Amino acid sequence: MVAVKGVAVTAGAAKEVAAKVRPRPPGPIVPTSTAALRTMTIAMSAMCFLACLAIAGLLMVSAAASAWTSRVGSELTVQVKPSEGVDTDQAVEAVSAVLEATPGIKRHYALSRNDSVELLKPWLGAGAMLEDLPVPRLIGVVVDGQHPPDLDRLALAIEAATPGASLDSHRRWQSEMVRLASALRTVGFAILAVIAATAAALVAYASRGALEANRETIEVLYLAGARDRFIASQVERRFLKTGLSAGLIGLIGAAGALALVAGLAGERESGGIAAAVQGLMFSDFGDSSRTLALLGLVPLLTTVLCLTSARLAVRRILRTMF
Amino acid sequence: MIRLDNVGLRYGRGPEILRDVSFELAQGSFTFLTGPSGAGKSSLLRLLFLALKPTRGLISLFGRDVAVLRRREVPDMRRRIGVVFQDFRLLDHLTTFENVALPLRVQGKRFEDYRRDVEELLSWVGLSGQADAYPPVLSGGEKQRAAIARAVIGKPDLLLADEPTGNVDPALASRLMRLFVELNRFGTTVLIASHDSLLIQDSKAPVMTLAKGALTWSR
Repeated sequence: MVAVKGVAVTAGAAKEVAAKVRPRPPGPIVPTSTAALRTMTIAMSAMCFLACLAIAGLLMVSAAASAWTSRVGSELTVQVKPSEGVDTDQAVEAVSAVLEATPGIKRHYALSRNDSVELLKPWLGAGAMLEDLPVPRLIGVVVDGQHPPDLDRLALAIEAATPGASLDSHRRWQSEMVRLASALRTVGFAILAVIAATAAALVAYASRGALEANRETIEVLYLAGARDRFIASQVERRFLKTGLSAGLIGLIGAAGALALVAGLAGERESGGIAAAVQGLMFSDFGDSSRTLALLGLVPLLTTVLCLTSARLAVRRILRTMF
Repeated sequence: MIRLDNVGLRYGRGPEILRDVSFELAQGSFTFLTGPSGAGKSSLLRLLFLALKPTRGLISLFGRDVAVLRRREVPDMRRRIGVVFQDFRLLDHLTTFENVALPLRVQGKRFEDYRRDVEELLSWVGLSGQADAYPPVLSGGEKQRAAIARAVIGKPDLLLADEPTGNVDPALASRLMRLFVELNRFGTTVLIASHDSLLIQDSKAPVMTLAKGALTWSR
């Protein structure tokens, strides 16, 4: 039956029509590629790229800070200064005995005089003068992180064991590092917040622009009897694609940039950039899956941002009609 | 079917485009609306297809006062109205077939279910060869026929057409008028705004004339 009431079309005409017309199944109602949407995709990709880099930087700073602080916190140094009338080797042994008797210490190792001299050579040169100098002796101490010793009592015990011996717990350095790490984290979060706010403003502005460019389509749909939710779903489908592709482009770009940095850095020494980037992606399973989950959030949040913004913009346009 | 009581319309703080317009169109009627350019014909049609709200007065469509229509009820009422716009309002990124099928698509109908109807209607308006063409490559007459096909594809209860034969030759104008007459014969109320005095004279349908915002009847 013909769509128009009562308008008869002959069987021959219908066959002719069928032969001539073979339309493809309909494409998307909202244009798939407009200048405004393309601009939005490019800008959002850049924002996602920056957000991924900021997150990666934050994770690397956090990992490095916790590694530094745990290493510094788990090691102590006892310094035995040479004193008039005191045999330094005996003093070292006396301190070692105190350390041996103290619970909470995993192990300790005394550097020989030659080791101490070697440590000073880079600063004082390899002259004969070093042999005559009263070089302090160092004892490295590794504490049990779970049950650490009472450091104040240990310091008193060491000073009592031999004059000129002192305990350096590196607390000052540790607190400086903690302060530095937390400052870097704060800066990282601030950068992320600025990126998020800029992205939100950008999406709001761009989606409004993109929908204004599609106002004609929205009006025609509205006048053809489309419900608001049908129009919104057509628009959101388009913005879903924009948000997802922008998020993925940004994520892939950031992963490429990190790999490039790791490759260009060249060295693989512990504490280097390459090691930090590798540690980010290939550390133990829990850490790397957390990294992937956090980076995976970027395209997800971008898509949600695009969808929400599109929904608000399309509602605003629909409210102006009738 | 359609009733207007003392309807007035002005855009912003401008002068009244329509003044105290009152008329009633019975179900199944066929009526022309004419008048000089700028008389308010298109504005009156826009009021009737719910693209505008009157500044004052009452408009009743299908027995419902449009002033108290809830927003979610508007699409259902629109689906009962087919509109041929003077400027066609075809979507340039959709093919002729997709433009004509649009009212069915927004109703959630499936491609397989409406394909044959759209193809047959395109054949009737002489556009079967242009089904896959995009509006920018269509001539003015072809765009007009596509716009008419889109207006009637949903078998509307009310057809509003703004200068529907303005861009076609007399032979095709007559053919399109036959389409409107056939629609009307099967119950669709038709209101055609036109400048075409010959077309109006050929028809025996009643004529409303708008001049300086006021409405008079003839025939």
